[in-house]
Amino acid sequence: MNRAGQRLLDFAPLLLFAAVLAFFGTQSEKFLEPRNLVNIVVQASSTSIVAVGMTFVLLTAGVDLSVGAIMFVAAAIAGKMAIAGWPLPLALLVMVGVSLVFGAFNAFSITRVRVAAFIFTLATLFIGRGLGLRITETRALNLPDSFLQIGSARFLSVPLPAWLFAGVLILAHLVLTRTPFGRQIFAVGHDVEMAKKAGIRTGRILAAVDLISGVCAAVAAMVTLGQLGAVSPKFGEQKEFAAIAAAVLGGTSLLGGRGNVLPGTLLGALLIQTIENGLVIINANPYLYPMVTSVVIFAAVLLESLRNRVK
Amino acid sequence: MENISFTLHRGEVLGLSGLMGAGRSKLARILFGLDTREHGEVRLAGEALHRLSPRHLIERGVAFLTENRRSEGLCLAAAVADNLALVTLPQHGRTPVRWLLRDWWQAAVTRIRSVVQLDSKTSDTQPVRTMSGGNQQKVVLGKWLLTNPKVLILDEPTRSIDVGAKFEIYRLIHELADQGAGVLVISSEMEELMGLCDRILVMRSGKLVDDLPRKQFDRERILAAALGTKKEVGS
Repeated sequence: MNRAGQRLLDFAPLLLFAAVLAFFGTQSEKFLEPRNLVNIVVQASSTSIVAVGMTFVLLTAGVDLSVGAIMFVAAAIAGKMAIAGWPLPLALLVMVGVSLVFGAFNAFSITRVRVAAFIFTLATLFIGRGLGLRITETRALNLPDSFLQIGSARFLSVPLPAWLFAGVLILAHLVLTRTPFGRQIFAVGHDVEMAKKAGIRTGRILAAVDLISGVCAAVAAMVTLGQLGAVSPKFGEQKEFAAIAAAVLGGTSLLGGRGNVLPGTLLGALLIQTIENGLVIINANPYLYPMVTSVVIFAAVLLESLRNRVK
Repeated sequence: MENISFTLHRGEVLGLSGLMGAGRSKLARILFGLDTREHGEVRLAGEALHRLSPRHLIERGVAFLTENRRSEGLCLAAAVADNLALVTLPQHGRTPVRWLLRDWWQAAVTRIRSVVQLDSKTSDTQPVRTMSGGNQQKVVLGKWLLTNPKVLILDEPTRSIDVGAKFEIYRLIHELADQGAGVLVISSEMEELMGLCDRILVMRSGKLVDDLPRKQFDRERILAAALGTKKEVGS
């Protein structure tokens, strides 16, 4: 494929985004109102944060299917603690702790037991889902107002979750592009054996991305809790697919070694959220949603395959 | 392979000759910890190395340019700068502040580009796969030179690269030896070894069969030792 085709592929997510905005904009006047656009960003924040963690894992040619379940368990435990009257900061800290335990579980199995990440994190998904349902007894937990308060709290007139969102994105971008650790992630994704021959501690890198993915899931769960104030049995469900789709739409390769958080993953997550939001605004038939999701995933896979053909 | 014992001195360019399958590459890979050995000892500056793994050896100043640069030496899809900085990454910026100030990285890349005389038409950001074989090999060599190796092992360093790049690589090998490093060169081109090396070892079917200082370099003798058509000399 020629250079022009390659440029077009680079801009494909942006073009898709523009097309989606234009489509829903013509369908509904409310859609392009600033309030709704802000809404999209706020709604996209938790998916974006999970997708950032997923980007790290995908860059090493791995995958983490357990992120949604980690969100659920972390939220369930923190919810129980909050209801029992524990202080909020402690509950948030425990969420991070829980995610690290799950991340370490994934990391250990993948690097030491050497099972396939795809299957193993699927197992972790069910462990997490099961645990979460046990903890919540399959009932929705309504959390104390303190959670909603941090969700709507503002610092310099910007909502706290938005700061968290921006912070995670910028930090991830700097780590990936500017630190030795970040560059080693790319090298491991390109070729693990070659990375070993260059003296890179590949086991550590693979373990680290699983931990990062877990922590991102915990942070995303915090943001979601701040927005919903409740833990339903479906909390975080299918987040892993939204996260993978967002990362891949944004140009991260499933084969590892290629991708970026800014602008790629952010754009992918915004694109997905925009479509979801637009469907609600134009009162689309709810049965249509899964079809649209499938189109999004198809678009992501198509872009990925075209990119691989070019490079 | 058995009964192999040799010393690589400081500032020495040591050649390893022999036919394909004589065990030269295998020996190099064992020395760099890529293949395992049943027994035997490797010493570096008098110190016995208990664990042979690429990472430990790199930390001690050993570098190994494999014979398959495309599959083992390079990230073909990654940028030139990334490939050059790959091995030295962990040494840089252990503190977060230094991480973010990427100057050290750019400075190292720019310096090594001029050391290995990388084609100035190539950019730091272009993928390595788009470069010529000679430039690719210079990138691999540059990557290792950035580590300031004390021991450099080169397996077929000039295979399928152009003449200009070959001479650049010879020059770099001599420069490194002049700075006190020991260089072990494996090559199937006898003229290359005879021109480049201070001493040549000859291997045949997993054994070391000859050891010639520069004064005794002789095509016939090396060939005979490699083929086994003459009485073995030395051990």
